[in-house]
Amino acid sequence: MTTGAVSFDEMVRTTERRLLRLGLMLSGSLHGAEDLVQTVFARAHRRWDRISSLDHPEAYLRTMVVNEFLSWRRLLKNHEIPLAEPLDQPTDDDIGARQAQRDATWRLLAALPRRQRTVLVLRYYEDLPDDEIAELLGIAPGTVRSNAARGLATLRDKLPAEED
Amino acid sequence: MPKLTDAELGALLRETFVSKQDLVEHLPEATKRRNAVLPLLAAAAVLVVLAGVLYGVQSAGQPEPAPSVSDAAAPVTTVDGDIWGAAIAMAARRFQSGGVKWEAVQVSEQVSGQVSGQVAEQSSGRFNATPAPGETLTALDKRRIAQVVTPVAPVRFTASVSPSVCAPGRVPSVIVGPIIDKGDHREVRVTFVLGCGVSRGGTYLLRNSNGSWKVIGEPDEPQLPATCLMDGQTGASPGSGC
Repeated sequence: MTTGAVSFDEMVRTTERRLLRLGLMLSGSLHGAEDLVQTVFARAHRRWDRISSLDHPEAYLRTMVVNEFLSWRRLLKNHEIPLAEPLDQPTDDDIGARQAQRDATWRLLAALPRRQRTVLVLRYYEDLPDDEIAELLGIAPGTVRSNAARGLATLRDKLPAEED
Repeated sequence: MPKLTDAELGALLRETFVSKQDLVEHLPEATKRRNAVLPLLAAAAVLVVLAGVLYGVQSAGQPEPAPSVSDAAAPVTTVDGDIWGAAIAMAARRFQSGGVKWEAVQVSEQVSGQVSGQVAEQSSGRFNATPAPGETLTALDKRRIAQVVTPVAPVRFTASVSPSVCAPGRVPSVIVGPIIDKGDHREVRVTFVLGCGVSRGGTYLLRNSNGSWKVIGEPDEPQLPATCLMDGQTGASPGSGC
């Protein structure tokens, strides 16, 4: 499919990896990320004439991935029984304490409510300011901050403290 | 045990995300630039195989061609008509004397049983003859005969010829015999029938020269009586000797 701006194929090639990484941070698994991105690309393909005429179609695709994740998680909650991800218990034997903390953080992120996790991903992975996150999610900046604060508090409470 | 600050948690989250993002690199590329040549080649190969299969199925459904009496390696069906045509044309010219033109030459569709005196040899298997006596000319044979003889006279084909019947006008009939393969040349007996019991029969020798068959030997037969060639001769009033 080719448009006057950028072809759909070209956009897929240039944004696929970035969107997959975002999908991985949101969903917590590679397969979840693939599902997210493929679903988004399929929907974007049907409306590519309109999407390609936007100023930043790649930003629009990122928003689609986030919204798909929020919607997808809702569908999972209502209709599907997600299989538990095998938990890698952090150990201090072979890897350092920092790596153990990262593994624990990753595991705890998966347990966070989807909106809190999304806010943390957008803030600390996509490095978006809170007002942009608010615009992307269609919520108030104050709601972004409260979601981030609650997510961080959960992590703080459940993460083992760094050893001195 | 001190709790992590927001800044420390932010740093930990960034490290965590960065440490996990490389997992994506292990995924195969979902989209690749496609080379159109390979799919086209594959499609062409599939078509070739399918065509071969269809051809094989069709060939298997057709009956095997009847084995020829003559040498199997010789493309008999494609040259028999040429040989007969050359012999008939020679006979027609030979008996077309005195400037009298044949209105047409009527060729019997049935191959004669006379094999130019080679019956004994034929039966012994020394020579090959085609087709078997009594068989009829094929459509291809007829076309080739007509092509070769038409410059001399138009050709008609008839189911049978009776030498005793007096045909009206200047339309001789011709009966051809099987073609005898003599190795370097062919022999064929041609009976030229004017009607009313008048006929001439002899063996013609032919050789392929540059793709066409030429008569290299013809029978030593007397010419037809002149009265037989007179215009207006009919079966009801044959001329003397006709």
